[in-house]
Amino acid sequence: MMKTKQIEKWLLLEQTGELSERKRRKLNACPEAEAKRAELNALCKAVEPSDAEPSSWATTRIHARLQAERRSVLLPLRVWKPILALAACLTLVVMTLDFRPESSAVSVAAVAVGEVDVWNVQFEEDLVELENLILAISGDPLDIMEM
Amino acid sequence: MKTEDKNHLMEADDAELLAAYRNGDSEALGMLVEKYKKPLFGFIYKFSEGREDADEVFQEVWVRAIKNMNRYRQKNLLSWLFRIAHNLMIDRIRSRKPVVSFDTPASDDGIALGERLAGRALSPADETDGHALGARIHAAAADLPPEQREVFWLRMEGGLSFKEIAKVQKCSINTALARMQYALSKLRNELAEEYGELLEAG
Repeated sequence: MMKTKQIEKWLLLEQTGELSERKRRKLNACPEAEAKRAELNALCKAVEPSDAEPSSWATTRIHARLQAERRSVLLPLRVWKPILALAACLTLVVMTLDFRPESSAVSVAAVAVGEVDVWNVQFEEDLVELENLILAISGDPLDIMEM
Repeated sequence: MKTEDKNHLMEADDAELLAAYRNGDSEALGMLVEKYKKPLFGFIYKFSEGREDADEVFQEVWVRAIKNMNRYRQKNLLSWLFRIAHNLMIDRIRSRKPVVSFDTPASDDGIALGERLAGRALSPADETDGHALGARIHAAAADLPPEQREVFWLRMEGGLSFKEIAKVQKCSINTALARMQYALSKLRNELAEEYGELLEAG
């Protein structure tokens, strides 16, 4: 003999298809079950689904809200875009400077100074040679000073 | 949109429609909303303060559902929507608690919120037309404790199984079943006369 509460519980589960076959057979064998089932079915029938419906523009508004939220997520990206672009440019400049070949301004200047030095040494050597030549010709150092 | 694509969408299941909407097909959202609007809105309406309020909650449920669709793992979208609606309504009740009392007049007409939510008196039209019995059940159900009322309408309006109701309420199936049994028992007492009519009609 099944208890009333148990019958009600199983009837509710039977209605939703959640009652096992074994329990369903046991329920059907219970004489009280039929009256309870009729009562439950009658109640469900009397509870008509609500006629209320959302407004006709509900879908449009849902879509609009989702679009607006998506835009608000993207907005900071738009704000960050120029900053990111600037940062990218700076990075590029720094990297270019680091990897540039040795023909930088500093190295060009160094080469130039080196060439000037070489030229000066050459000039002085020529000058000394010229002095010696004149000395050899004149034989008097004073004459040369006067020259 | 091409007719072939439209037909394909109509046959698509919920997960496919959600994916289609994510890929920019706004019509897919319309189809989903249309598919579930009756049970979902009907349920929300029973726990709201009028049509506009229900409309707002309805929209919010869909917005949250779409935003969190990555978390959608259940087979039943409707059950998931009810779960979101349940959480949303709990949040709303919590946020309103300090400022709204059941005794304070909720609107200009001076009717208290408690009366508005619970005592949905029958209009003369309800009394005379064929919907009287259904309307009495609605009015009696409004007096049930919130958890029982929710189980009752999730089952009756939403058509959810007890396994799904248990998921929505985050309780065991046995608890959900017990709440439904209490609800039915109270309705039976409340509507003793009408129950006789019901059995005769049934």
